[in-house]
Parts: sequence; C-alpha cells; structure tokens
Amino acid sequence: MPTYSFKVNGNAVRVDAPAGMALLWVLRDKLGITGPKYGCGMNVCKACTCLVNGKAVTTCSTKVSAVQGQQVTTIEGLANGNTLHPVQQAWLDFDVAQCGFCQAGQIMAAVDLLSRTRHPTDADIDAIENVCRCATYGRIRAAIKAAAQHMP
Amino acid sequence: MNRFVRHILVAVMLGGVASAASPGCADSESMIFVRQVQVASQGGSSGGCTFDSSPSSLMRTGGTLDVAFRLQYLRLPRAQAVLQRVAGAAQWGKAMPAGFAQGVGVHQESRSFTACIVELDARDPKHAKVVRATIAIDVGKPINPSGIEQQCHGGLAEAISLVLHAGLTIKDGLPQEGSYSQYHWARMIDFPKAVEVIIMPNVGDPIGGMGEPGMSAPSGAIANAYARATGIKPRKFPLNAQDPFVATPPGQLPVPPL
Repeated sequence: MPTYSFKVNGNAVRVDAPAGMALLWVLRDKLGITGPKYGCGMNVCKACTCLVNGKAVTTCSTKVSAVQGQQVTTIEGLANGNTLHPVQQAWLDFDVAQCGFCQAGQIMAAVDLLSRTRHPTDADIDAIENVCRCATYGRIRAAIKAAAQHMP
Repeated sequence: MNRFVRHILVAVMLGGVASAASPGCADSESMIFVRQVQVASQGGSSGGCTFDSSPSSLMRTGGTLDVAFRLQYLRLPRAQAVLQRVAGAAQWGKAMPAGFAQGVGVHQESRSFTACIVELDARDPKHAKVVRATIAIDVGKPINPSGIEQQCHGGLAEAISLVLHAGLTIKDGLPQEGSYSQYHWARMIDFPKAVEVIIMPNVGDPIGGMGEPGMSAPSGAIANAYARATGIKPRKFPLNAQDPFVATPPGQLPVPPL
C-alpha cells in the first residue's frame, strides 16, 4: 500500500492508504480529524469542504494521492491557539449553526471566499453551493459580511 | 427513520401526491373549500400546506382581498393577529412590478400560529423565485427568540424547496433522484435576501411548538403568490420546471480540480 506525505493543519503526516482513497476518509478514519463531514460522497453537497493550499476542495471526491506534498487545512486548523478565526467568531456572533452538520464545510467555503476577496458581493456569496438542510443561509450571509471586516 | 428517507417522504407527499382535498388544517374554519395537502413531518405530526390560491380564485377577485377574506373567516383571534401583523409589516397590497406578486398564507399547528407574506418574482414562471418574505409567529411564550427566527428561516427554505423546485421522479415505487445534484434543495442563491421574522409577544398563552409550524404558511404563501403573479392555479408541485430525470452512467464521478 502506498505511503503519502502531506501537511494537515501545519503538521506533517504520513499515511498508508490506497491511492484511490478519498481524502475525507484519510482525514476522518486514519487521522481522526472529524471536522470534515460526509454528506453525499459525490461533490454536490459540499459538507466535506476543506482547504488544499488555501483553496476550497470537496475532500469526499479528492483522492489522497492528489494531495501528496500539499497543505491541507480543516476546520480544526483555523483557530490560532485560543483566538478563533474571524469567520468562526462571526459564526458565533450571529448564532449561525442549527443542527451543525454542514457548518464546518460552510465555514471553510466562507474562508475560501474571503481569502479571494475582502469585499464579497451578494453574488459572490450566492456562488457558495454548500447545502444546509436547516437553511442557515440568511445568517451565513450576514456572518460572512461581518467576518470580512475582520479578516487579517 | 433516517434523515434522507424522511426528506424524500416529505417531498413525495408534497410533490408527488398533490392536491388531495381534505379539511383539517386549522388555518381555516374557512378551509372547507381550500385545497390542501397533508405533509408528513418530523415526529409524526402532520402539517397542512394550504394552497391559498383557492379563495381568491373561488371569489374570482384576483385582487388584494386575500387578507381581508381570511380575516373575515378566521375565528381564532391569534390567527387573525398574526395575519394582521404580517399584512402591515409586509405592506400587503402594495404595487408590484409586472410578473411579481405578493402571496399570503396562515397556519396553526402545535398550539402555535403563523402567517407569511412572500414576494415572488415570476416573470419567468418556470423559474419563479422568492425575493422577500415576512413571517409572523405566535408560539405562546417565546423561550429562545434566536432559535425561533432560525426555525422560521428553515421553514421558509423548506417551503421554497418543496413548492418551487425540489421534486422527485417516482418509478416502480421508488424515487430515482439519488442526491442533491438531482434533488434541488434550496441553496444560498435560492434563499431571499430580505427575510423578516416577527415574534409575537407573550400575552399569557401556553408554550407552543416550533419547527414544523414554520413551514406551512410560507408554502401556502408561495403558491398563492404564484397564482396571483401568473394566473396559473397551482395543482402540481414543484411549480418550477423540473429537469427530466437522467440517470448518472456507471463509472467514476468527475473529480473536482485541486
């Protein structure tokens, strides 16, 4: 079984895994990082969204072989010590989460958006396709706009 | 019952078995001639999606009398109160551009009362979109106002999904759609940017339910708005054009680019 080396939340990891194994299962089952959630398994619900080299990626549909040598960031790696990432803080301030299942993916999608633009338009936010069955969309929109004011 | 199966059931009940006329939703004492669908919901309770297009079509007014008509026939003061509150806040009857319309729905469930007025952009009737929603909710004694507002948002999104675009294709008794790529649940772009939730003050009524009660008034309001905007009476859901089901061929799914 091949071995893959990459970084997760700044820490170097080595895993033995089949080349075709989804990054999501490597994170959850081999590394015990359970922030990324399994929803659809086919890149349409986006609950598993993480960052690879700072860019949002659906880990359910990304093979572990594709991240050899890359930098993976999960929700667990957003905070700086006890200081939450501005997007996480906005999520708390706006009481966004309901059931919470999709929220790690929603936050990672928002971080990706704010890393690309400091002044997201409504159209930019509309382009986020992460499904939320509780429909926290209204507060996600408000939280993203608030977090944009506090991005480093 | 797992979450996905339950959602399919809800969608089947609403999308596939539309318009069984039945009394029972407490919107109405006046409901005897209002078409209605029973919607299976969490916890085994049932809610009624009232196709509130019917009173106006029955009266053939097509005007702004829907609220006055309901107020005349609603007997319960709390139902009247949420309707009056929402009608004022949403400026019921205001002028709307061509292809747009307001729609109204009222609902009672689990000792809670709610009314909703939506503004629908139906310039393209096959791609109608809710652009504004005003919801008044009377849960008796509110405990967690933030949670109540969120549950109303959820009910609104459920209504948008099931009334407008989340349909299922049933073949040999089974839904063919397998995931959110084919079952078009509301996403960020579908949720209106202007949503107001008014929580009625506690005047001594007992604690009522929240959650499912938030869904039915917006459902009726959207169908009502669709009828008023397009002149098409909703008889089958979802109202927006549903893409014909195309099975995903066997093999590897496309891999998202890194």
